[in-house]
Amino acid sequence: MATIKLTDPENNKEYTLGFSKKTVKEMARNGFDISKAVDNYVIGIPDLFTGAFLRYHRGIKQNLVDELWEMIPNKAGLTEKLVTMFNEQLDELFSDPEDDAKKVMWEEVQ
Amino acid sequence: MGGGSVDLFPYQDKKEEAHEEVNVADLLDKLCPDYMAMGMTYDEYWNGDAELPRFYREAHRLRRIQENHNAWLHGLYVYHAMSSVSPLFRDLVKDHTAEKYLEQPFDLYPEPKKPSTEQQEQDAKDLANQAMIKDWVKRANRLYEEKHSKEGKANAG
Repeated sequence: MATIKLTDPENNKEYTLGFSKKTVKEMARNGFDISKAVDNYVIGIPDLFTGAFLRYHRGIKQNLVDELWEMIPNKAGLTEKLVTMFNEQLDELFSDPEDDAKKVMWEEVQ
Repeated sequence: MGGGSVDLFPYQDKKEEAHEEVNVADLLDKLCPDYMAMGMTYDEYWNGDAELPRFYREAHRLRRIQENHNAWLHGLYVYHAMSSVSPLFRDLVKDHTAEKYLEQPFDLYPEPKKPSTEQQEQDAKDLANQAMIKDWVKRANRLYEEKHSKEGKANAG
């Protein structure tokens, strides 16, 4: 199961970020919409980051989450990973069995 | 999903309405019983690995194939049973005796036939006998030729 590990530099405390269908549902019930979150980087993405704590650190305080978010250097990279992990919870409900013959192959050329 | 199929995914029947807003929470709620019908537990669905549903769907597909095969096999046994007793119901037939039903179930996994050791021993014996006969014929021919050549020389002398 894909998770992300965060380490707080101040006290070396480790946090595991991840989603389950339960937390995805909870976020949706609270008005979170992944498509809107991606469009609204300022508010939406920190909400996604907060939701990623629900699975393993449910009782964590919001101000601590905000502090951690501010300290993250590569926010774009983390965001991309979180969006993938969030969507994975829904994609696997509908994905077809893997069929290589039907896959469109792509490669980068110089 | 087609109209004739079992409604395992009721949400998918509404593909035409896909452009409408989808509430993720409702969608997850709707699919939960479908996956539980496939054997997933409540905890596996809500808290388990994201990949699990895919494997449950594949397992469900294989189970359906197996069930279908079993139904076909039952039909075949019934067919044999009906064929066995069919003489009892024929008015124009004198002999109203039912035929024997299958003495054993169908062998679903027949083992490949290996040559028996008895057969191998017999083959080896046959080869030895053939070689012995060939030798005997050769020796008889040689003796016959020798005898004739001696007689020829004696007559000439």
